Amino acid sequence: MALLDMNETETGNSIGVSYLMEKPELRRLAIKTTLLTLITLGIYRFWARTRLRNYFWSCVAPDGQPLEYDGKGLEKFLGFLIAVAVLAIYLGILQLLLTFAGMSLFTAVDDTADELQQLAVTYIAFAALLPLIFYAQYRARRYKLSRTRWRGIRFGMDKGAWGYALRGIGYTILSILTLGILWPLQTFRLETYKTDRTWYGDVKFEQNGNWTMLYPAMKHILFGVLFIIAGGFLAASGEWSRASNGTYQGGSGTGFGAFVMFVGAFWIYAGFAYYRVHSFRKLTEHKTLGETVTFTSLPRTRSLIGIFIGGGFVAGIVAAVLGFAIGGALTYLVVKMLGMQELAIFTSGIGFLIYFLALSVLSLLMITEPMIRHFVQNTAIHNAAALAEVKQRDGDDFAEAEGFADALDLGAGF
Amino acid sequence: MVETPSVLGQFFDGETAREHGVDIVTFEAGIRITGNSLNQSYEWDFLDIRALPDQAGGRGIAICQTGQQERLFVDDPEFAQMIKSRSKNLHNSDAPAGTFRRVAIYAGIAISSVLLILFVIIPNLANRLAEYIPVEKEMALGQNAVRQIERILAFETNPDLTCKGVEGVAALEKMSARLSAQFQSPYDLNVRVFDHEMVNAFAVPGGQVVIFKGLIDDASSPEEVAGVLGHEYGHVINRDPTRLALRSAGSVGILGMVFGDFAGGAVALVIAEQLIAANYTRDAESAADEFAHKVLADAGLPSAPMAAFFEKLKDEHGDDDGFLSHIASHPALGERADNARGADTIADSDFTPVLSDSEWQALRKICD
Repeated sequence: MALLDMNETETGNSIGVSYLMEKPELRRLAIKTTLLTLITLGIYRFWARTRLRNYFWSCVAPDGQPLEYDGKGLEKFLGFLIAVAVLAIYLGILQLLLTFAGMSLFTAVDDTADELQQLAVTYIAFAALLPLIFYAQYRARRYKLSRTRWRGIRFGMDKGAWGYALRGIGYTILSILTLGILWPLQTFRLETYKTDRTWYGDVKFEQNGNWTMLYPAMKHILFGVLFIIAGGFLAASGEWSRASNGTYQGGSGTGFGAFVMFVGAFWIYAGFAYYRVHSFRKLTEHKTLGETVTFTSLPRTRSLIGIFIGGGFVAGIVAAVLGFAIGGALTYLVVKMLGMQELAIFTSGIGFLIYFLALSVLSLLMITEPMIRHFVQNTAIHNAAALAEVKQRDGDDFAEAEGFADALDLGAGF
Repeated sequence: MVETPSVLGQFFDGETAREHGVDIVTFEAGIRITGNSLNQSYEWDFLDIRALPDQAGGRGIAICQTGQQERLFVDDPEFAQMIKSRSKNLHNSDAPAGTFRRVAIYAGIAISSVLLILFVIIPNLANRLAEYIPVEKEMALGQNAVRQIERILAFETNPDLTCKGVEGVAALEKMSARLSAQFQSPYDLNVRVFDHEMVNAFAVPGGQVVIFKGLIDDASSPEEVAGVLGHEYGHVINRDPTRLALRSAGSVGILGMVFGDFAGGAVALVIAEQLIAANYTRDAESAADEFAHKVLADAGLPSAPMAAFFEKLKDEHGDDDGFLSHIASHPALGERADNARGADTIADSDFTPVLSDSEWQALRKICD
C-alpha cells in the first residue's frame, strides 16, 4: 500500500525522535539482570536481553510515541534449545573433520607452524559457518522486527533467510576477489534485499538509489591505502639508497616510510568506521516507507569513534580494577589469613568473573547506550503524518526466534 | 456505579497507526476509554489489564488488555498509581498452559542431541578417523602436545620440564626396552620424566609417554613403574591418545557454543588438558591394563607390583580423587588391582628385576 504525500497539505511535517532514557533506571536494570544471569548460570540471559530491549525500545519515541518490544524471554530460550539441537550435530562433526584434516595434512614442526595451522583451521571453520551466519543474521533481524511495535502496529519482515545467505556468500566472494573494490555493491545489494522485505504494518519499506553512491564513503579507506603505498615507496627507496652507497649509512627514508605506513594502517581502521557510518547515512536517505515517508539519519563518525574508544577505555579500566581488587582481596584473605592455598584458583576465578560482569554492564552503559542516543538524536522522519493510515499486520510466529544467532554468538546480545 | 473524574490518555486501537486522544474514567471493576475519534468505547476489567514491562518514562504507565492489540498510554502519575494498586495481574506473563511441558520437551531434545553427538557420534567417528592419520603426523602432533602440556603445567612460555639425569635416563631406557621388545609398534617409542609432583603418567599421540616424578616417588619398586609404563604403551598401541585428541576437538566446538565462547581458540588448550587428564573410556583402560599384563608376563616380570601400586593409590587418594590425574582417577582402582594380581604369572618365583638397585636409585634421582 502506498501512503499519501501529506507534505503539500501540512507544513512542518517532519518529526524528530525523542529519547526518553533515564540512566539510573538503565543502570539498575542492567545490574539486576546481570546478577540474575550469573545466579542462574546463564539461563536468565534470554530474559535479561528481553528486559533490556523492553527498556531501550521504550526509550526511542518517534514523534514522542515510544516503540514497544514484545518479544518474550521464553521464546528465546526455546529458540536457543532448538538451535543447539541442530547446531550441536553440525558443529561437532565439522570441528572433528577439520581437526582430522589438520592432523593428516599438515605437519607442524614447531610452535609457529602449529599456531599457523590452528589459524588456518579456524579460518576454514569460519568459511564453513558463513552461510549459517548470514542465515542466522537474517532470522534474528526478522525476529526483532516482528517483535517491534509503534503506535500499536507491528513491524515485520518477509521470509528469505536462505536467499540472503546465498547472496551474502556470493557478494562476499566477489568483494574478496576484487580486493574490496566491489564492497559497496555487496553493502548495497544486501541492504536492499533486507529493506525491500521489511514492513511497517501493511506498508513496505523500499531501498532506492544505486550502489555506486556508496563510493564516496570509501574515501578514507582509499587515503589509508595510498598512505601505505607511499610509505612503502619511501621505505624501499630509503633502503635502496642505504644499500647503493655501499656503507649502509644514512637512508633516513626508511624510518619515515615505516612511520607513514603506520599512519596509513590507522587511517584504514578509522576509514572502515567512516564507511559504515556514511554508507548507513546514504542508504537511510534513500529508503522510503509506503513510497512517500522518508528518513534522515546523520550520525557522525568522529562522535561514534569517540564513544567507542572513550567508553571502552573507561569501562575496561574500571572493570579491571574492580575484578583485580575484589579477586585480589579474596585471594589474599584465603591464602594469607586462612592458609588455604587450594582455594586461590577459585578466588582468582571470582575476580575474573567480576571483571567480565562489570565489563558487560559498563560497556552497555558507556558504549551501547551513548551510541544509540547518538543515532536517535540525529534521526528524523519526513511526511510522518501519512503514517496514521497504516494498518495492522499479522503476527509472525517462528519457533526458533533468534536461537541460531544466539548459539553462534553473533551479537544477538543486543 | 462510582465513577472518578476522567484523565486524558493516548490510545491506539491496534488496527491502524492513528493516535486517539481519549478520556478515561475509572469505575469499580475497571476503566472505560472513550474518545471522539473512536468508533466504540472500550471497557477494560482491572483483572485483564497488563503493563508493558520495563518501560522508560517512569511517571506514567503503558497498558494493554491481556493478549490484545490495543495500547493505552497515560502520563498521569496518580492514574498510574491507581492502576498499579488495583490491577492484581498487572505483571502476569500469561504464559499459555503447558509451557512447562514445552520447555521440558525442548530442553530434553537439545540435551539428547548434545549427548548423542558428544558420546555417540563424535567418539565413533573419532575412532574410525584415527585409523587414517599417518604415523609421522601423529608423532609431530604428539611433540606439539607435549610442549603444550609443559606450558600448562609450568605456567611458562618456554619451559623444559624433562628430567635429564644421565644414569636415570639410561635406567628408564632399559626399562622401556625390556617392555617394548615384547610387541610390535608402528611408532618410535619414547618415554621421559617430567619434574612435577603430580602422581600421574600419560601418553600423547605418536608413541610418546610421560611419567611424572611424583609417580616415581610414590612407587616402591621399579616393577610398579614398569606396570604403569606398560599400561601407557597399551594406550599408545591402541591409538587412544589420537582418538581422544580428535574427540576433544569435536566436543570443544559444541561446549563452546552452549557456553557462549565460540571463537574456538581454546581448542588446543582443551586437547592438551584432556590428554593429561586422559579421560579414556572404561574399555580403553581395561584394554591398556590387559596389554600391560601381557607385556609384563612376556618380559618375565610380575604384575603383582602393579596391583600393589593401584592399592596404594586407592589408599592415598580414594577411589575417585585425583584432579587431572589419569592413573589415580579411574573409579575402579580396586577392581584393576584384582585383575593385575590375577594376571600375575610369576607369583613367588624368582625373576630378573627390571632394574638393578643402583639403576632404580638413579631413576629416582633423574630430576636432581
